[in-house]
Amino acid sequence: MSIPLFLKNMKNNTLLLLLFVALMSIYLAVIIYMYDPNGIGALVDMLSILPVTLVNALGFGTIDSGLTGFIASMFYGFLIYLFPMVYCIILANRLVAKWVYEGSFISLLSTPNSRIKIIVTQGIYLLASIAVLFTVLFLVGYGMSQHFFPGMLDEKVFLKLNIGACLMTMTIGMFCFFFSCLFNSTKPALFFGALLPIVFFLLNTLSKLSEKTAFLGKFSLYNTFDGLAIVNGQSSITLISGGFAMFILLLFIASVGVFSLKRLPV
Amino acid sequence: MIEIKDVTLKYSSTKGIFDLNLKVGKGEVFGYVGPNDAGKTTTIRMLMGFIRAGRGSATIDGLNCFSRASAIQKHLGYVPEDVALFENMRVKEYLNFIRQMRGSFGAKDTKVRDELIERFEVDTRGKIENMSNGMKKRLAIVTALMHDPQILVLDEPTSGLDPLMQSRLLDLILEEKRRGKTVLLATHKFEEVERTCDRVGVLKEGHLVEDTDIVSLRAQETKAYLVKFAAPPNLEQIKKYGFGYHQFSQSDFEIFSQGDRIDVLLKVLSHEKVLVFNSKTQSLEEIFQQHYHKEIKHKETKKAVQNKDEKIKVVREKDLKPQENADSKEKAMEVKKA
Repeated sequence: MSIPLFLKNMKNNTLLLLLFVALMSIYLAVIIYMYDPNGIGALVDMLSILPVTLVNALGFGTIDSGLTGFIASMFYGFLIYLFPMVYCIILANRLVAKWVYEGSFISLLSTPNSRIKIIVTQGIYLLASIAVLFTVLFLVGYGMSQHFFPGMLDEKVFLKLNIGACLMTMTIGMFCFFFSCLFNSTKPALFFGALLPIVFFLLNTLSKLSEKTAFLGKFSLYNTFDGLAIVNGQSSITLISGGFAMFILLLFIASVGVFSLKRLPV
Repeated sequence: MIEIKDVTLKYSSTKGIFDLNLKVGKGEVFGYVGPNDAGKTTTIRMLMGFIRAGRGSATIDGLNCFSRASAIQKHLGYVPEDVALFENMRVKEYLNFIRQMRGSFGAKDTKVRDELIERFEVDTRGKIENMSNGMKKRLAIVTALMHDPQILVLDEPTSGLDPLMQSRLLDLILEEKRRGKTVLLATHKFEEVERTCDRVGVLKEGHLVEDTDIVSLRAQETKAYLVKFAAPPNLEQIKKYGFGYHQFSQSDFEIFSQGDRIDVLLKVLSHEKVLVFNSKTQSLEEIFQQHYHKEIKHKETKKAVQNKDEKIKVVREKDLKPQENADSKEKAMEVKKA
């Protein structure tokens, strides 16, 4: 890994990270603030106005009455797919394809650093920044819960939720990263980098609509991570994490492989 | 030392480089010339490890250009034709970043860099995105040379530079040559090759059609001189020594001489009263006309579309139609003088 390059990435992309950290932290904080320990009647009433299919699609179909479950369904059920997805698409494109397209990648390769070293650095930055995002989210969630509802948050489960969501986001990020390494111009890199997570997202949403469409979920990566199931202990976080980690590793290796062998247009 | 052996690298059946063999010895300055799209930049990109040779082998100092690119870069300086830097960085920041990427972190060893900044009058304040193209090119030259590399790979380094900077760069190449550096200089301009290179290779449609040293090149070349005599000269004498000529008027002549027989011509002319003696600037296209011919027409049609840099365009135009241009200019000058 190249430290000067990593620092440059930080300088270039910290604003982007801060934006998403702020956006998601505020959402999480508001959701925790909204929680009413005496029952979630008001929220259920409000949701009942909306069509059932829409509520299901948003992942609010079953709302757990505990704080952890509430957070899991309100935050880790729907929003957790959208915001990090956008972050991954933008960041992955900025880390590789943009520089290759603009030609400034030439400056990096004119130094005694191999392609592999440079791409590994970019990949590590992507993963590290996602890790930072979820660390902050965990701390915000934990802090807010402690402040408003002391003792009500199941920290272990909340940590599991964050680890699961973090690894899932990293996997999505690696998909985008792979396309960023594969293509020499930003357009196809952005297109395919965005297409895949959006398809995953749509399949996941559709699968929740009715019994008939449930099978679609099998084709979506997002279906693997189910916040409520983790809270209820129905799915094993070790298994999920292991699966995601495998995916991340494979995609990382594929990205490095593709990039180190391709013809660069610079 | 740069060595290319039987390299074929295809983009399509006609684009790319084919069975290229080339060797640039240590301490040698090699001029790499050829029309647009001949494959010069492709060759250089292959040497830099940006693309892999389809067949054959390319090595620098015995290291494979693709697999050992990072090791090669330690002692190599590269100036690309089209400079693309990190636009949002400040100049100082960029220079420091590249230095750190080359593995030196301390404040020492900036002597070479500072000298280069001074020599090329690079403005180190401000952001790169606000710089002119010429300034970016100068910055690229500084970045490429600031680690004092043993091998220089320059892809049309003077394009986009003003004449003063062009001249400074050529001087720098000569200085580096004296210090034993190996240089590969890809260019369109014969003056640059003539001034700096030991050997010239001409590339045409991906094939190396000429690989010759500059001395024999000069001998091959036919020089043309525009001469104005005070009285009608002794044409018999000029003919006798084997010089061709073209008569414009009673006392205005264009005399042709082989590159290695200029001294003879001077001796012959010393018997005449010469008023004006002008050398016509020879362009690469004229000298390698047999190789260039097809491309010249091709380039002329393309020229109207390529409206990149006014300065480059003017130079190219001169290169393209040197005969008419030079003629009319020189004539106009002579008329004035007369």
